[in-house]
Amino acid sequence: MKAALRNPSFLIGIAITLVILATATTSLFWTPYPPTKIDIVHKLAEPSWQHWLGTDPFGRDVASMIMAGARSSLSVALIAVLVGAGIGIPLGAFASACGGWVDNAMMRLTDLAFAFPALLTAVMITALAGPGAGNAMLAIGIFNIPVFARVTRGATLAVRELDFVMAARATGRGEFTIMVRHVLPNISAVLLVQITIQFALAIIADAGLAYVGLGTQPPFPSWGRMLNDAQTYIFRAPLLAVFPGLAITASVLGLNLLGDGLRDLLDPRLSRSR
Amino acid sequence: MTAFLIRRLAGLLLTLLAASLVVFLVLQVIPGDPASLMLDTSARADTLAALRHQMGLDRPAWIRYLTWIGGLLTGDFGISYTYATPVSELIAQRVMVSLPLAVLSICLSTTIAIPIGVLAAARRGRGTDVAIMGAAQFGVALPNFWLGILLILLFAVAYPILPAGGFVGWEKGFWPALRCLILPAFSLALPQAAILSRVTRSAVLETLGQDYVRTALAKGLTGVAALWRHAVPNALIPVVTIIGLQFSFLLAGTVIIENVFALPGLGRLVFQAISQRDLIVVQDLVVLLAGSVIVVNFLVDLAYLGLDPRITHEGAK
Repeated sequence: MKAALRNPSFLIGIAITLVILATATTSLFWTPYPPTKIDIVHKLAEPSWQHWLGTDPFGRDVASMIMAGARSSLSVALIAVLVGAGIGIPLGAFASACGGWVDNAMMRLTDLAFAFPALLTAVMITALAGPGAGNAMLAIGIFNIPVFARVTRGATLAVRELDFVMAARATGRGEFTIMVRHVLPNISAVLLVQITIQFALAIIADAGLAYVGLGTQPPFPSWGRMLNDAQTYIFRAPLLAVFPGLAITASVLGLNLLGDGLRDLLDPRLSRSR
Repeated sequence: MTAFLIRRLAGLLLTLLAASLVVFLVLQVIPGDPASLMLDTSARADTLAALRHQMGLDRPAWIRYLTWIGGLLTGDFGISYTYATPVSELIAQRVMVSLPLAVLSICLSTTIAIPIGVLAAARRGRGTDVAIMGAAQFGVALPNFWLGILLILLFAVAYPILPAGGFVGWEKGFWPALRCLILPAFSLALPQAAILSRVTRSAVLETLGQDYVRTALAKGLTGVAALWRHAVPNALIPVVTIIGLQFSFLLAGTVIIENVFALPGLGRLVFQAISQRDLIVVQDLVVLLAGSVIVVNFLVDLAYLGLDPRITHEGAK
């Protein structure tokens, strides 16, 4: 606990992440204005006390849209990571427990999956299955599966050779019980770090999909979509292109710092800063 | 050594084949009727039947797959449905934008990342290191398409010295065309450089602690000479791996960056083909892109042989 308070990455990371989370939660019951309310009279207003971050070409309040955008961004990323971890971790554990050709075949499959540029395939999936937040979650989630499978396999292989696992095996426990009760809890640190990293990547991917019009659909605001809209007005209202990008960067930065901090705290062997 | 190369080549071909099979399954078999996927639901029945015939859907899937692969190998990529031109021609035009962009981005990110990564490692724990790594942490978090918009804001709106988008074509001369690629290349390169500089730093820190560096210093080499002649070359393996991996991110990144800057490249072509449901173009392009990722990773593996004489793969599986 004391170590956590002395780790700047962890502290800054958790602070930013909490602020973003709080923003998203607050937007569920309060935003300065309704984020989809059109008010043409006050379009393209400069930031002021009435509109903290100004208004967009339709007179919608940018601050409110960013708050609501946090909610859509975080929910897409959360589901995507849950899909990836929920399928990838069992697959990876299964591969390492089976060993032999099963393990080999699964690893070749993940190799194959890595050959397809993730974002390109996500664009393909959302375009074929129809744009929308649900398909974006799925498309990003599918690409988290091989990542989690790889990480889980690598980490369990190391742990499965340790003495306490041998001991459990000697007492006659089944492979499944050993995996769930002894191996997985011991790699939870590695998995937690991976989850924060993938969460950050999922936020960028979601913003990218929304930017090209394949993510969360209007009128519900999303950061990527706001950037696309802002580009049309870049000569008249340059500030519109700044705030949504700052929101994306801040969320990703916070999660990355949190991941780095957790890595240092939970598993000194993995530490990057030698 | 030869046996190793042959095994690796066989593996490469197998992976390429598997990748093409996956793409074919996803686009041609799983949707059931690709022709109705390409057309609107309002399409007339005879239009649909004509397209089915043109696409050869009256033949079994495995024959269509073999015809497609045979075509790819002989340079016949099929005919685009929306452009009504051979896909190979479309690709040949677009590659002239995407390939220079990719090469420029990789060169930029490498020339930025390696020196500052080495500098951070050499100044470990001091102000320079902290500043560089802080900037890198920020750069990793920067989405490249937002960076693109910011660069447009800075160099095309506030100080209009570079075009905000579009591409004039190489026939207008080298410099006018290159000018159009500078901002997109930087948007792709800077976030990649941030990742690469972190990898370079930790790789160099690792080799700086090795005995041979101490020996070099004991021989009387200056710190700078020991760093560049002994520590840096030995740190290159992880750096090259990451450059190879980044190639795949770069290809995906072009889909969005080419949209930001309205560049007529492969990424924009695949995106347009997807939204127009021009299946044969999508199919060819995805295989082409996945294939180039597979080939680049293969080349990176081979590069290890040159970089690290210890890796001989004698008896390696």
